[in-house]
Amino acid sequence: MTAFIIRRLINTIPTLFGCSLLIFFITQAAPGDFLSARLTDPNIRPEAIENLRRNFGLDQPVYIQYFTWLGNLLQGDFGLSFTYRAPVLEVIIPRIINSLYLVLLSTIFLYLIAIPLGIYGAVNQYSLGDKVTSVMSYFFLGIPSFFFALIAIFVILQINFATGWGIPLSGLTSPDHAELGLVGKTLDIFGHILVPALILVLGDIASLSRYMRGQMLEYLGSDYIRTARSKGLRERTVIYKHTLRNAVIPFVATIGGLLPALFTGAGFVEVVFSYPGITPMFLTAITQQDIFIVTGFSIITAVLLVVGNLLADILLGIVDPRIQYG
Amino acid sequence: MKKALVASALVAVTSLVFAQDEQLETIENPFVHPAEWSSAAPGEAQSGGQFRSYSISDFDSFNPFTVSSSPDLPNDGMTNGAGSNGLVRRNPNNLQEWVPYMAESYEVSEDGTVYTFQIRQGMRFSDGEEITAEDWVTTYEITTDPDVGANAYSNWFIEDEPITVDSSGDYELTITFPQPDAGALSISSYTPWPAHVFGPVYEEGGAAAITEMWTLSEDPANFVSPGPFVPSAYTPGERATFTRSPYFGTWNVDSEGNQLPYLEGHAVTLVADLNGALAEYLGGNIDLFEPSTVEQIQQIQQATEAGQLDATLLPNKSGEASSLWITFNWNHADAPFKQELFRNQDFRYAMSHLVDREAMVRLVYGGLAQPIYGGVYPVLEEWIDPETPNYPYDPERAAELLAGLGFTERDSEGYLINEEGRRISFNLVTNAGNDQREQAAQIFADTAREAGVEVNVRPIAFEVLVNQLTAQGDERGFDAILLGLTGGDIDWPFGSNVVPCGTNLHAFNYPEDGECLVTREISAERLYYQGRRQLDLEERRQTGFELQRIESELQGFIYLVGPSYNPSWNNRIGGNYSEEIITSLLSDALFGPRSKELTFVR
Repeated sequence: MTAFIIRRLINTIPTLFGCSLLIFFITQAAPGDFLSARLTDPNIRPEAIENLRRNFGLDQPVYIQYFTWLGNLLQGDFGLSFTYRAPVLEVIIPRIINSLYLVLLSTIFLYLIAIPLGIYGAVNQYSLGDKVTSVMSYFFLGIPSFFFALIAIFVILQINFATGWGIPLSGLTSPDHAELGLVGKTLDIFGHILVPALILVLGDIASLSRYMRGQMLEYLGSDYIRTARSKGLRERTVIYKHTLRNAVIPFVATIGGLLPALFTGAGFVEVVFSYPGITPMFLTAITQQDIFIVTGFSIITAVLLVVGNLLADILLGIVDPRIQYG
Repeated sequence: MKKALVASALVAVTSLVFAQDEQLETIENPFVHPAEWSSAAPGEAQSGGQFRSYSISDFDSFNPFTVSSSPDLPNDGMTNGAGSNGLVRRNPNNLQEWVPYMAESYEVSEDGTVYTFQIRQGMRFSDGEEITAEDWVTTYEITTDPDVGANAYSNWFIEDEPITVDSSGDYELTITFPQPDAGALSISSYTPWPAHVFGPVYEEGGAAAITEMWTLSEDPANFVSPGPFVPSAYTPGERATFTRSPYFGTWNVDSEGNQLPYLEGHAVTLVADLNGALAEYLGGNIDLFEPSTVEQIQQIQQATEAGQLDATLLPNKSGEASSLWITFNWNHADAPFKQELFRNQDFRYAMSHLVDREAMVRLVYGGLAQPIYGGVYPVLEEWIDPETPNYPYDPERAAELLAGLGFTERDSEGYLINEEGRRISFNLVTNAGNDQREQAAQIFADTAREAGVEVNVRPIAFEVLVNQLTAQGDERGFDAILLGLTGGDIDWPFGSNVVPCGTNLHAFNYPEDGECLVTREISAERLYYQGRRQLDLEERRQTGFELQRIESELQGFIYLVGPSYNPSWNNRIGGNYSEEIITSLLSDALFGPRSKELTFVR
């Protein structure tokens, strides 16, 4: 196993190097740069912009910029954000942590809801409950999450009007957050992320529960399950100890994608709910061509993905005794 | 012993309690904010409360020298906005009138180039240090250091000559201009940032050290503000809160002698999505929202009528300070047929006659806009020349003009052709993702199609568009661009980068040598510089009228429509300017049509 891990780690080096090349040059390939928008300001002289360009190092040839960036990266310096004039890590880490709350909660919901739902659907196949769940799954699979988020905001607003409750509509905290005690602060944050987290995973719950159901059905029909039943084992043991453990193996492999997903934010739901996560900042950085935020964050994602996949493979080896790493 | 302990504890607690209630004394000679600057009734305003605003774009820094977001934290959060709270200030009831604010008085030399200001004594920053001439000088030095990269750097040059700032003593400041300039007082009203904070850093570390100061992660206790508010907290991506500066009220009072600002503080929430901002406004969580589409206005009206929201809404109150235009490329040596066409003024008049401005107002803006024919924003009413001829929507006249250019027949697809069988066909680019511009371009293309002109609308990425627009040379790579500009001066409402030849936003003609092509350009340039130097308002206006006439005959830019300004605010907030005078020019970036000091919560 150790040899396997070391081999994998050595293999990731060229992968990450290639990633860095791609990330950097694709970002640079976009026409214009951070200062392009200022050219339309009728009050700013072109010389002032040239000066800034020199300050930011944007006038160097691209390959020199790449090596400067890579060199700094290997020393842990992700560069300075042009917009914020502050180190990139300092700027993105608070946002990543905010996203982490949201994605963590939504992942908990995901597994808590999808797996039992899938099992229920498989065990009670074609029952009324299963049919209703199927219809709703297809429904949620079809609607994009940000659209659903817009509808949710509208519904919450109407509820607020009708009942006078102050259900939070956006953001992470209420204006008086600083004055609440520890419990108050936790509840405040929880209240704000509840609805976005739910909406975030509706599509994923649908697909995961369908997949779970399919897997369970496949294994429920196998010979060894029939043997287990005829041996007289309790139904619960048959389902949870024998079928589930086999059915869940593919999901362990997908856990590898969980690690980067935890850090890369919740996508458009964050934008619609004005949630201060990493996605709105990343989008802004892309449109404003704040290249060091874009490249820094992308490289972090790439590293997390590689590490996550490695962890998933190790986990898979533990869960499935048929798999051996030599 | 115990009694003594209890007694002293009691004394300590009581003195603490009373110390908090102690107000700092007003100085002998404070600035009195006139009652006419607010629509509040006498005695109506009360102290306390928070104003809650929103911002779509994230903030980048607290550093007043390096900020480039809009709204920004130092100018819009701490003070009244750049250029509105310095030595002199505009009278909101008459924007061309300047009132001494941080200066007690000022004098202008005979030739109009030297302005001497006597600084009000006893003014203090939020940390209690006195505001003196040194603060203005240090701010000027740091802003004009090219390595700092301040946006305001360009303001300190007139035709490439620098403006200089000197002090003599603590309370006298002299600003010397290379020539008389209509914008002199506007430039002079820059905000003085604390020399005791920035000065030592600049001396030791230069521009590089300045750019590292006051970033978003700075401890709020270190901020020092010359304005009514000082930052109290910032949570990244969420909210910036400000609290009242305790010393501001010692030199700023209202007409009854109460210390200002009335507000305890204010908070700016970041709401990344405009729909989210509207939802928060309807839910009563933010106090200001300025709708720009009919749907948003309808939602506010519905909420108000249903009693769910108590707000004021003034649709179509005035024009915005922004314009939308189409410009044709005169530097098209790689397409001589088009180049000759675009350089022909009859062609440009014809194109202006083909712009159905009313349709754009109706379809693109839902009625919340007005047709415009020149570069001076309609909100600047006194600057608009009523007698300048323009070229309104008139397809028949367009057909006449095009026929005069030789385009008399139509081909099999209905397009006009000349003797050689060539069509009038060009690409119109605009920035992708801006729905209003794309729709306006399409409306123009449709009308042109009917008239027999082939227009291909091509939405492209903004950066590419800007590169094309500002490219210099004889083959600039575009046919026609549809774009808009915002901002600019209200003392001389013509762009310094737009009117003179050889400037980077003189977008229709920007050849390699930077020379004017036609005499009208030369006249326009001459009038531009002439007007800038005229300190007398009436003379300047007349020059402005002449300039508008020349520009209209030139039609370098074909103006389309200007969107409307539709202010709305929650009625729990008082202190707005009187409704008759409210225009987009009076709108503060965060607070809307009111002065920050005179805003109060009912």
